[in-house]
Amino acid sequence: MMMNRLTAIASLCAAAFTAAQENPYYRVDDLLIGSTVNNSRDENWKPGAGLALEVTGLAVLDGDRLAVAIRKGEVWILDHVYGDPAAITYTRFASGLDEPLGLLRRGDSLLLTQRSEITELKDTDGDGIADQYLTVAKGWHVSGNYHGYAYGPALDKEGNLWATLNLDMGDKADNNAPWRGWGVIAKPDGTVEPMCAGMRSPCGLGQNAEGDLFFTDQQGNWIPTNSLHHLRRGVFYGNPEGIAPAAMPGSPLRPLAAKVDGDPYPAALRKLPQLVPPAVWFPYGKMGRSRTGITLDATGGKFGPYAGQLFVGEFTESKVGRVFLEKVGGEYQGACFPFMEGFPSAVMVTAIGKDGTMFAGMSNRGWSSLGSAAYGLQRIRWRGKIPFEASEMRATPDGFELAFTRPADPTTAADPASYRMESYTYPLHRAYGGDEIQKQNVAIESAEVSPGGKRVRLRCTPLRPFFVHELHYPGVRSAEGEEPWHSAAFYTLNRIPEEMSQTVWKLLIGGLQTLCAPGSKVLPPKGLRP
Amino acid sequence: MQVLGSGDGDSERRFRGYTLDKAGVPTFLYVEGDAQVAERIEPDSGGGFSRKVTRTADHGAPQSETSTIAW
Repeated sequence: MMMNRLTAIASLCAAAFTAAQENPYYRVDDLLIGSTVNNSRDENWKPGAGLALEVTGLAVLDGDRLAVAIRKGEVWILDHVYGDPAAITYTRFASGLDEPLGLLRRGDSLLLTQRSEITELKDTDGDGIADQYLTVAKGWHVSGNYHGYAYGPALDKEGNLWATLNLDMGDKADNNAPWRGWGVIAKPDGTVEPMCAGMRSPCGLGQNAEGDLFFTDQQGNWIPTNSLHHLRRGVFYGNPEGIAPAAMPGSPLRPLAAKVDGDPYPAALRKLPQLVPPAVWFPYGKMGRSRTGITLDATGGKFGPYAGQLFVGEFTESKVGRVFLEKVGGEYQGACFPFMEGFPSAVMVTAIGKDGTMFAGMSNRGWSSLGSAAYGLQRIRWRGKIPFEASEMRATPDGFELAFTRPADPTTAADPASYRMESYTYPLHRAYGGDEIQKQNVAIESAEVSPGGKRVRLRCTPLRPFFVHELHYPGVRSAEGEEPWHSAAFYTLNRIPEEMSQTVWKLLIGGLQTLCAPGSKVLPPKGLRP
Repeated sequence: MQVLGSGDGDSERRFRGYTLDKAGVPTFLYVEGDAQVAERIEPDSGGGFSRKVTRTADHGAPQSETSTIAW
C-alpha cells in the first residue's frame, strides 16, 4: 500500500517535472506560483497566503521591469525579471481598480480596461507609484452580472484603443443594452464607438506582425469551439445574444438578415452577409478548451523557429499554443498548432520581453484548470535547440504546403502514408458548444518534398471551403531520423487559393479587354490557356 | 424596453478620472462643456473639511473656489 502510494506520488511528480521542467527546447522558470487552499470552484475559494498574483495582464517595460495587472484590481511592477527569480522585487503601482483584464504600455503610461472603462495610469512625480487614474473612454452598459467582463485595451495601427466586452450570462444579464458582446474603440471625447458584434467571451486581444488586431473567443452558446478572429469594424462574429443595439444610432451593423439556429457554418455564412468565419478554429479538446491572450513573436527568432507567429494562451488545459496566419482572397486564415503544456495554473496572458524571454501569467479564478495552482507567473526561454516539426501550414490550390523547422527526411516526408487528414465544419446554433460535423476523410494523393527537405507540398482531396482541415503527420522524420515534437496541425480553410497562373491570366485578359474594342473576345494561344 | 443611450455620452458632465496625492487623497476630474473641473475635498485643521473646485476653461486661466464644509 505504502509502496503504491509512493510510486503514484513519484510518477505524478515525474509527469509534472517532465511537462514543465524537462522540455529539451524551452527552459521554464517559476517566478511566483500560488499555493492553493481549496478548489477553484469552491464558493469560499481564496488564493493562498502572500501576494496573490492572479495575472490578468502583462506589459513589458524598459530595463528589467514587467508590469502585471491582477484580478483583484491592482497593478504591480516587477524589477529584475530576467535574472534569479529570488531577486525579483515587487512594487504595487496602482490599486482600487475594478477587475482589469488586460494591460498595455503606451509611452510612459499603462492602459487597462476595467469593468466600466478604459483607464490610463500615470506616474507623474516619478516615485514609481501611479498618481493619475484617467478615464480614457467609457459608455458600455455594466449590469453587475458576473460575466460582464471587459478586456483590453489593444492598439491598432491607426492608434485606436480597442476593448472587447463579454456577454452577460445568468443572473442580472442584460445583453440588449449596449455594447455587450461587441468590440469598441475609445473616441477622443471620452465615449466609445461600437465597431463589431457577435462575441461571447472575447478574452484575448493582440496584434500580428502587420499590425492587424485579433481576438480569441470561447466555446459556449453560439460559439461551437474556441476561435481566433480578425478584429475589425462592421462585422458580426456569430453570437446574436448581444445584437439588439445594432438598431441604435451609431451602430456600424444592421440587425441580422435572418434567424439562424442550427445551420452548418458554410450555410450560415450565406444567410448572414455580416457574419465572418474565424480566421482559425481551435478544435475543442484537441487544441484546448478555452483560449486566452495573444502574443506576437516579434523576436526575429530569439524565441525559437516561430518568428512572426502568434502564441495563444489556454485556461482549462493550462497550455500555450501557436498560430500561423496567411491572407487568402484578402482575408486572414491559417493553422493552429500545439506548443507547450503543463503550466501550473490557467494561462491568461503571455508577453515576450528582452532577449526573447516569454512570460506566462496565470490565474484560474472562477473555473477549473489542469494546473491546479491558483495563480502563477513563469518565464520561458528557448534553449537554442530547434525542435523538428511543421512550423507553417499554407493553403495551395490543390492542398497544403508544410514548412518544417529543420530539413525532413525525404523518404518519410514524400510518403503519403506518413500523413492523415480529415475535414469538418461546425454548426452555428444556440446550444452550448458544437460538434465537428460533416466529417470526411481527406486523401493525401501525393507529397512532394522541396530540394533541401524544408517544405512538402501535399495534394489533398477533397478541399472544402469553411472547413477545418485537420492534419496529422506522425510518420514524417527529420533528416536525422527524429520524430516530430508535435505532429498535428489544424488549418481553417475558409478560402482555397486560386492557381497563380489563373490569377495572372485573369488580370492579363482584363487588361487586354480594356485595350480592345468593346465586345471583341480575347483568346490566348492554346498553349497558354490555364 | 429600448435603450436609446447609455447616458455617459449625452451628459453635460463627463467623468475623466482622478489623481491621488502622496497621502492618497483624490482629486476628481470631470469635463463640463469646454471646461475642465477638478474637485478636491480634504480634512482641515478645524475638524471639518475644505472643498476646492478649480475650473479651467478652454483658453482661460484656472479659477478656483474653496469652501468649508461641516457635517
